[in-house]
Amino acid sequence: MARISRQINRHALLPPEQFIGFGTAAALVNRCVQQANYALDQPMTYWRETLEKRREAAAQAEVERSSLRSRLLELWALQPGWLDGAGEAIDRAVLRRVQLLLDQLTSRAVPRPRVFPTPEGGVQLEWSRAPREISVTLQPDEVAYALSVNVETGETDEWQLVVPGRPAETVASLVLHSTR
Amino acid sequence: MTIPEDEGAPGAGRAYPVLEDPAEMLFRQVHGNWVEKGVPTSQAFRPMPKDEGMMSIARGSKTTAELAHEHYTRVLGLDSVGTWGLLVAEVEATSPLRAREAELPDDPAHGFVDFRDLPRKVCERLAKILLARAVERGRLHPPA
Repeated sequence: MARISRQINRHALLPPEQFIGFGTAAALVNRCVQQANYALDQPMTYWRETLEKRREAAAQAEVERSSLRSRLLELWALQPGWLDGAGEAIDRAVLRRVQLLLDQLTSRAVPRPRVFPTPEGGVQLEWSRAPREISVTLQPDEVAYALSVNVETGETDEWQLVVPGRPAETVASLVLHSTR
Repeated sequence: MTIPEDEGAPGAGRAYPVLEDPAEMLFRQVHGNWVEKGVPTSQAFRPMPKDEGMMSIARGSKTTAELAHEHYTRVLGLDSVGTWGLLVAEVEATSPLRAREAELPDDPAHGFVDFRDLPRKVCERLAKILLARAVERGRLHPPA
């Protein structure tokens, strides 16, 4: 029994102390068999193209991450008075929250936003998704909200982003599905 | 830029006549920290707290995009990476905004877009619409 558990766990890539149970193992095996059958039915060109697309997406995501890191460093370096004498230095905790949010959005295939400092020491992310202009604002007082405006009709949607919570899901849905 | 107080005016904006030519272009300067990948932030199209609801512009009937930029950067010594533009008609279409003239002793082309008495969230919404109009037109000076 113990030997079978170890075998199942090894194939499920789990440590030995986390035995997943026979029912779950059966479902896992069934899913693997289905995936293997599907894979065997595809021509080799399909797999080459799939692999290539995944490589391109990964490379693009890395370029965006790097570009966002550079932009956040620019914001990090802003001194008080950066806006013609006005403008607080950007709050470090806000920058960390923004970094985390941007990492999560990049992994959800959300397009790179434009990133701007706010005079209060916060950060505003902006997307243009015609006909909508969308922003997510994170301020030092822990206020975080998203605003989406249809610039043709003026129709506006607003969300308070709860922190801690799952703001990345809300923002990803907002950006990827805001087309009206 | 500080606009003289509207002392003694019984109604908001009473001392500042509304601009009536819908085809007049209004020039807006944008700070370098507020442009990324050639696109300004919507924050650049609403007044800052110090502006008391009055977003400064330069009037196209009295200056050009280039001269407005020069005045802003050289005379006033403020930062701007360029001039973007809005028509009076576009401001009026973004209800309840109005463009008003507010000539200053050292700047006869000065005017403002009137955001006075509007809540912050409303200002943010209207600024996004103004941004979209300005970005559609593109940077006027230096040419994009």
